[in-house]
Amino acid sequence: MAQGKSRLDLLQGTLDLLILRALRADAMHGWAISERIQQISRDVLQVNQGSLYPALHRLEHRGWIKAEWGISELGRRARFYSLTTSGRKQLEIEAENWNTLTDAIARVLRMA
Amino acid sequence: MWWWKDAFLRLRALFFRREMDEELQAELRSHLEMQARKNLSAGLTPQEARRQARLQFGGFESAKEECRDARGVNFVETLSRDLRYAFRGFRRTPGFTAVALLALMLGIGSNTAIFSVVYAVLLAPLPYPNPDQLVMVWSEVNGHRSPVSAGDYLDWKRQSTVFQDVGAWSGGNFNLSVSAHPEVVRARINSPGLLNMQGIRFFLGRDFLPEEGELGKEHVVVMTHKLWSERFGSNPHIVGQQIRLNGESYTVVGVLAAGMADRFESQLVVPLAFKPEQLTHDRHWLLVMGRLKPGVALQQANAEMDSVTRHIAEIYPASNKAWSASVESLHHDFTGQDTIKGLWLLMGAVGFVLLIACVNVANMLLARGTVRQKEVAIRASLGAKRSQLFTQFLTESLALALIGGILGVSLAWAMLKAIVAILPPFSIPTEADVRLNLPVLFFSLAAMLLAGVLCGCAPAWQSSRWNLSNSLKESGRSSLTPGRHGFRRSLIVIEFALALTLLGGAGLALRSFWKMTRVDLGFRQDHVLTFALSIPTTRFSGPEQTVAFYRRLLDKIQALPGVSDASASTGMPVLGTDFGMSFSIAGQPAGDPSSRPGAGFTMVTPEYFDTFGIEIVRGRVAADKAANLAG
Repeated sequence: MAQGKSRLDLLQGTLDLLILRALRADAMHGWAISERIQQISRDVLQVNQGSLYPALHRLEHRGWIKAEWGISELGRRARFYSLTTSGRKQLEIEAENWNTLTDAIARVLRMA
Repeated sequence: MWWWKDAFLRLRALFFRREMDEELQAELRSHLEMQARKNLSAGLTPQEARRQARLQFGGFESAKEECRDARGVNFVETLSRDLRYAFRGFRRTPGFTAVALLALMLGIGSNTAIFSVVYAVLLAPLPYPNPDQLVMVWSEVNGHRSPVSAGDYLDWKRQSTVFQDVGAWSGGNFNLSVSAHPEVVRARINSPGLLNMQGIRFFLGRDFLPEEGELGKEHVVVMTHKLWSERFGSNPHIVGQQIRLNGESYTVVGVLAAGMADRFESQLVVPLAFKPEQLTHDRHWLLVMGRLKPGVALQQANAEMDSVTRHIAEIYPASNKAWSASVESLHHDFTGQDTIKGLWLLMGAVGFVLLIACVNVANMLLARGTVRQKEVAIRASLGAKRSQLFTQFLTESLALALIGGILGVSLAWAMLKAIVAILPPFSIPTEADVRLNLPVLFFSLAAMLLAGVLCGCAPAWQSSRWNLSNSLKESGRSSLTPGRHGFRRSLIVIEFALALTLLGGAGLALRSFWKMTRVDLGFRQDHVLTFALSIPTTRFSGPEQTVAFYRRLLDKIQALPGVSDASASTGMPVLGTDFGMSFSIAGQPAGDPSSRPGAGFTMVTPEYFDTFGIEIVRGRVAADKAANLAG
């Protein structure tokens, strides 16, 4: 896949966090989620579309997001995902974990 | 919350697989469309925009597969697909399937049948409430257990503290006559309350009251459900009615619940009421059962009975010196070591049969596997993983084992009917209820799974590690590599070794049986007819009358055409004796009465030896004196 130098592959497990975060405000379909993540990260984070959908289905199966069929901006049927209550909690937990982790790594790097 | 939602999704995924797949397809397609639209707006041609969208997405089918995995139904899906495939395979090779099923049916069927007996006799708890509390209390002398004297029993009952209750019983025969049709019925003579203590349930009426254990009030009777329905037409008003036993009138006070009690040898129960002359310490004729108080261990009970019997021996040294008591768990107390050993031996033998069946089926599967090599190679080249091939083969053998097992359980059901029918009466405890129950079915299921895995592993392992390109290059010809050939050969060796062991064991057992049927018992068994007849003591005032009755009876039988000899006795050859006494040898010091040697004896008329063809090696037969019959 064509990827610029400045684009990073996602760490295992971070995709879930990004999806949850992207869905915090409103419901979105899969394509919009990948666009949103790319946009907000200023094209640094590239979502592998092949692994986006398995991740969405996994999160739905876990009960953190739920899906409904709706009409996309193109006027076609699309599956819209939104956060559930437990998903919201999970987002908090994972964001917290992530911050702790990155802080720690940053501190280690500074020290070196 | 999570789990039911999960279950809902799984079920939905299972039953609406097509709908789910269509939804997934639609979702991914709409994604591609949106990506293509974006690419289009970036200035690509429509065709190129769609192509790029596809490329950007990556593996479309594998993404779908991963989505299905994420929903977590793939196991069930795979299983049902594998099963469908397996059944198609079975239908294609009916000969193989029939032989494999037959082998597994015999293996699992015989195991289920024998395990039913093992379970009922050795493993199942006794069908009484709190069966662990029930114990037998035996008298013990010189390390041998013996029945209990009435005097000892009553003293034990008074002096022991470890029992909630203690009861005694003995046995007897009664002439039961219902509507002018007499029959000898075996009866238990029970101390009042024994049935309740044991926890045997009543269908009608009650156990004996304490006062019914007193002389003069003991003409009451309890009968089994079987006797009640066979001889009394299931009369619902039987309680309170009179029936004739030994020509005397007894009041029916209870009918036992159907089931276990119907397997008792004794179909009647009457109360035990001691006559004054029975209250001795030297006649051992009672069986004693107790129910321990909650929390009392066998050891504790034995320790207490030790001190109780020591105390009794001090008071009655003449009869009780050297006698102690032994408290034993009721479970297995009446099952001989030989029976237990024999049962486990049988279990081992049928275990071998199952193993042989498994090895056999494994070998057939392996042979079939070589034929299927090409099919496997094609499936592997189409993307089937090794683990998937392995599961496929294992599913096939498990399906075989389960079908074979279900057939086997039906076979076991039929075998059990035969086993119960040909078992010599009372060779297993009457409590043992030999049938297919839940624990037995669990055992069968375990046997099926074991068989499935045993005979499936080898072919599954073999087929999942074939060299693909070689198999395809063989252009459809199945090839045998030396290594695999060796494996099949070793399976045949195992099978042969198992079969030989079994054959050897069976041969030895048959030979022993054959020899046993040829053992010279010392009496003639052909052309001899026997029957039992009990004489009501109330009808005959003394020995003279009894003897006269037997004499008349024997004369009449002797006069029948075709009868060459006739005799009466209190027992049959080799069946053991009903009477015993201690003796001392003339000319030697008599010694302590309690430690004198004893012997069982049978009382016979002089014709006994001629009738049974028993040879007198030395001396002569006692002359016919009326005194021979006294007693």
